[in-house]
Amino acid sequence: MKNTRSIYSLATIIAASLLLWSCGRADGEFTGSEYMPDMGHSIAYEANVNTYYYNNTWGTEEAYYDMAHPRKPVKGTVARGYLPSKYQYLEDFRATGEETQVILQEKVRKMIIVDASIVNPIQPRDADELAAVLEKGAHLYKINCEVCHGEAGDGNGVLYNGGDGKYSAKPANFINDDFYKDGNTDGRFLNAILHGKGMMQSHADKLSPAERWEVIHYIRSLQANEKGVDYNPVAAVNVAPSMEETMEAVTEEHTEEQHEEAHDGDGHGK
Amino acid sequence: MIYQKLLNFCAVFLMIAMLPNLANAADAKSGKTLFLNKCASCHNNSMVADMTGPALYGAEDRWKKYPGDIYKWIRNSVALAATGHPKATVMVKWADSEMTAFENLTDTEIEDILAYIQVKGEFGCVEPPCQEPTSVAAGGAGAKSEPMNPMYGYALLSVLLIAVALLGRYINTLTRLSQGKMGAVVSPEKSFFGVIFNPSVVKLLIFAGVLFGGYSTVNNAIGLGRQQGYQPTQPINFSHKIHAGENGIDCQYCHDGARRSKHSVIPASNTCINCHANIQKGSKDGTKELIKVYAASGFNPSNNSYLPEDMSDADRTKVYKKWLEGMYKDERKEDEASVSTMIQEQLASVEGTFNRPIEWVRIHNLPDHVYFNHAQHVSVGKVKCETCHGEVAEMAVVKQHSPLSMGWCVNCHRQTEVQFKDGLVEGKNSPYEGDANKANKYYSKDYGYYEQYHKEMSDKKREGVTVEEIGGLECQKCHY
Repeated sequence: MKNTRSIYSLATIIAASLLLWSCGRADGEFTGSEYMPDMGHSIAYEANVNTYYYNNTWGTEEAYYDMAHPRKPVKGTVARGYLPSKYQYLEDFRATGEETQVILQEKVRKMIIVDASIVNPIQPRDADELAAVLEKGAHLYKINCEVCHGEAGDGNGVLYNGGDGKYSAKPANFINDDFYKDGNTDGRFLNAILHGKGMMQSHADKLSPAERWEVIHYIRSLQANEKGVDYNPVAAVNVAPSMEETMEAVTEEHTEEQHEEAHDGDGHGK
Repeated sequence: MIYQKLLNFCAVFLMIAMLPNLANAADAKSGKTLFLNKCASCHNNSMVADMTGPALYGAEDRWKKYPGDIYKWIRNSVALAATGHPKATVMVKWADSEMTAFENLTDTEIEDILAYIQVKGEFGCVEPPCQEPTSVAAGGAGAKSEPMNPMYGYALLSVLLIAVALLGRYINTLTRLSQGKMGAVVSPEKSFFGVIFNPSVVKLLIFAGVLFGGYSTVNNAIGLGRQQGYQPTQPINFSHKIHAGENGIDCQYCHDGARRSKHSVIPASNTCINCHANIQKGSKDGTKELIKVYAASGFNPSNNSYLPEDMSDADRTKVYKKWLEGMYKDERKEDEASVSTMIQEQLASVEGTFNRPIEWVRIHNLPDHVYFNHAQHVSVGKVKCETCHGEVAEMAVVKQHSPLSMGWCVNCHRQTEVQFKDGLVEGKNSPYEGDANKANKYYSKDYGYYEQYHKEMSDKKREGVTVEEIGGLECQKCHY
């Protein structure tokens, strides 16, 4: 009697062990077995996954898929913090049906560059705020720009690598004099982020409106760094003036004040 | 003897063959610098593929009919076209955007650039013989210790078993010998089966069996519903090893939701286009996988723009056929038939996928009753992606690295210290990104939370704060 019982318990252990062994673990294409799948699988749909499970009451698998598969945002909705910029949609500026994407892009680019109302809306008031903005900008630059435009902004990222990399189009060199000269407004950078330029594609989906301006602040600071001056966006110039320039500016104090007033007005209008 | 002559002949022949190249190598070198500074933003540095501007290899030949005019064209293309120059009026319509005028280039500089174009287009580098381009590995791909082969374990086990058996046999023999010497009754020699069915051995075996069975039962039961090790085939043969590893692209460039939303986000296909508008041939699969990305996103790689939404599938197929034929122009000359079949196969593979999202297989799944937020961990906690996802930059096909079980979550929350202050307490986990020793402003005194902890730390009563201590184990944080 005692013997039979121990044989039974032994058999149970072996059977349980074999059963669970055969259930197996996730490997390769196999997701592994699960118990109580109705607790694991969402009846509400989840992003990027088709978790249709037969106990779901959504109806057929096709009906579930129709709702769960990746879709575009509802027309006319704006996500918080993503209010489109004036120049966000190229189509708003289409004059004739003949215009190709490239022509349209070039047209809008010229408009943004000369538009005086395009000013950086993020205006740090003191050194601490500026440092915070630049820290954020640097982080976003590292994620989104550095691989092509390089750590220093010299247009020599690892992907380009002096012409030997995999990417064969030369990325823009921000610390080049080309980007300091008059007419290189912040709008020029905003345009490239919104619509791309040449081989560069639009990065509007990668950076929120506020983040775009943080990155532009950071690029401006890289330029200032290259020139060996302090980055000071609070003054109405993009790159802080040198000592000599400041001395000159002091003599023309009156005109400078007027200029700043005009600039402030623009800032509020934005 | 004859070989040496042949060798000499070959050497001389090679030198003669290389002479013209050596002659313009000096020019080409300075041409390279000029080209990279002035032309490379729009003209492909490979010289044989179009970009914003046309492929430049052979440009000099194409302008041979109009000697000297190529210089005028480079200095100001629009002005030359305005004069009604036959070649220029055609070329100015090549792209929608006009070529930048380079009025300041001297004749020698243009000659240098043209020399570089010729050499680069013909040989693929400035100075033949060309070296293989070195991959731009990000970070030291140091020698990683391979996990031990389980075979070694089995071998060791069997060696031990044999040793035990032999030892048993020797002991047995020695016992019988000594029994014989002492004049005692010599116990009979045991057969193999005699040993195996010995009651004590049977008991031991049963005990071992129960132990092992129990262990595997519990262990496999725990594993039920977990997907650690899941490694599905994706619709596109995308390699994180190449993109995140060799190319050093930040994880968050594509997974841009990680820093700002609950989901890390499988990127929309236009993210691929950001780089692959230019890189039109993959290093592993050529155009085979890339065409799927172009088809899904509706991008036309031939002219760097997206196709109109209302374009029919048949027209789209034509666009991609034209692009593929352009990509394999040279190969087609050599082997027309096999290249055509390849193009047909690639076109067939994207049939019906035009302008539709790519259906990647999601790997990391949490049960419905668990809430997890990426932004909270990535932006606030500054946890490195690798902490949970493993070394994805070394995975050609992504595999689930962590069990994603509750025990795993809770363990990490218990052991991980949040950055209340600069520096970490020794022995605590550091999953932090970047400068691991900087305090996280989120927990700073200025916000007015966690006053008690700050006070305790300044009183030296407390060394650090773990995730658990700021509420990381509250049930409702993840289950509600």
